[in-house]
Amino acid sequence: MYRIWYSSEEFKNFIVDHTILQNKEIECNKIYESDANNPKNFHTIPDHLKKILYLDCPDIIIEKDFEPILSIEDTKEAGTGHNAFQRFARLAASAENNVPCFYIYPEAKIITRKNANPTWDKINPLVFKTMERLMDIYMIPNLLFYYPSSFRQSKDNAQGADYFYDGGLSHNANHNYLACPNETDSEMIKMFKMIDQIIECTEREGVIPAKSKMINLKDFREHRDWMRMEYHQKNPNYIISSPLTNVIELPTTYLLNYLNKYENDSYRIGELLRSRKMTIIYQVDAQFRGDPYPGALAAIDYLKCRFGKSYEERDANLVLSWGKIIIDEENENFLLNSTKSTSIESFFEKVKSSEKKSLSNKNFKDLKNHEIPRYFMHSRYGTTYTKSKEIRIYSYFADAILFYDGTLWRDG
Amino acid sequence: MKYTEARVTKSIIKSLIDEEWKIIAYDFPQSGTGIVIHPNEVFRTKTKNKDSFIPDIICTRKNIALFFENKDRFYLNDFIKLENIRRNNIYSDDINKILGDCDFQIYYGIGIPKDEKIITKSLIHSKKVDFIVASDLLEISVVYDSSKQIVGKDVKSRYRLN
Repeated sequence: MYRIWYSSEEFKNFIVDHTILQNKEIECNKIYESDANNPKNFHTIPDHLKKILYLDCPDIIIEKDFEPILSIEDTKEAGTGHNAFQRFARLAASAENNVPCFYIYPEAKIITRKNANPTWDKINPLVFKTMERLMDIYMIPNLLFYYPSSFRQSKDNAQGADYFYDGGLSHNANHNYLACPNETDSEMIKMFKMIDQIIECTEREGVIPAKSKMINLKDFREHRDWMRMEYHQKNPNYIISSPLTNVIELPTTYLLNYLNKYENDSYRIGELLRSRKMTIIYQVDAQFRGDPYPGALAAIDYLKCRFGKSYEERDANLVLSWGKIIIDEENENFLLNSTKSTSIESFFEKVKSSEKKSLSNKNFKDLKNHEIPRYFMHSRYGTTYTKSKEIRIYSYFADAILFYDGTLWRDG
Repeated sequence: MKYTEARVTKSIIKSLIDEEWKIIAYDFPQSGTGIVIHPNEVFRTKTKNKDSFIPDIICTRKNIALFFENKDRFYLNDFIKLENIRRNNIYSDDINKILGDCDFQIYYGIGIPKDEKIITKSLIHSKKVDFIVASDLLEISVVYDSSKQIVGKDVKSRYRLN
């Protein structure tokens, strides 16, 4: 039996109606993103799915016999710069939980800016390399398919492109699939075929054994080759792009010297940070906020730090800095310059506001019946799923977070 | 089924298509679709996106164009927004581009759930808009139509757009 967890009913229908899932016994359930934005329902999600949702929520998760076999993320956003990585934490969460993931993303989208002609904003090719790194580490498919568009037909003429008012994107004309991609596009046809192959492989090999075999299926190998080719063709001179343009690499000594002010007779920075010779610092000189930075931080982890499946398996520390780093080579230290005066208090305020949503301080007699299982979830996980997405992702990926007026770091 | 803005919009779109309206654009939470309509150049302040709006549905049939703002509840700001748009006509450049060369009569209206309380509150502010459509998620009813051009029937009667 298949279960499909979905956020959009139309997108669920779009996938089911165009794959062999339409002939299978399926049960469909609404997916709830987090306890933060859906406190009435999130605790009803099965525990094994909560782990995938811990970082961020994909558009669809397909399960066979209560084991996730595929997640799908669909986006229509222009993928320039950091934006290409906005949803990356969802892909990482899927891979980290050994679940194949398909990502539907426009190759380009028409954007009209002030006092300028409309232009195609093209996908940041680095996203291909980052997904390749996920596949290297987890050996599970993490594949990108282009959202149908008129880009290739009208590369040099955005103004005259088909679907101009939809940003050049070709949406589905059938009102049963509102806001879904055009199903007649070759990329979508290929994707449907590969979903069928995942289902067939799962039924032939068994759910768990199939997961390690999918990446070597012919169509999957070829699609991975195509993704590598897209990366090289779209960036033949290997020019560094966002978010790596905001990254600096320093010997960890600099970080330890910076953190030295927190050490005293009774406390010393722990072994995790010390164990890595180098430190990668992602500099975000902006007001404290979420998108697109959480996904970009996750991408930097896979591009620059990770060699294994856990965050402990990094050959460089990953640090998020809310401001520009000014290096002091003489003292092997650095200063942090936040032009937006982004304070550590903004982080603390977000954490505090999620704590307010917790039921942990309530008495049993004060709980309504439907709150009891949610209370039980909080007693087990605390506010793990109740915190805002950016707090969850920053705290998961960063070994340290620097603000001009305070710092957070991991000891182990 | 619980009313949500997305469900109200989707059900209105389906009914409009059934009645042979051409859907030009639509937008609902998480759809990632929708057309941004900017104020005319002379009215723009600071950034281009300031004061822009994304209609939840734009549709046409013959020489009539409908612009919808939809909600899963009564929301006075949508009435005020549409009243200002009708009165000031500051979006005409973008709207003309979207609708093309045809000379459309444009009507602005609200989509709401078919709930007596919501309908009653909405009707109090009906003069701010051209029409109000209520959806029970299966079909839609026109509860207010100032022009009689859109549906040609009496206010508050329960029937589908025709």
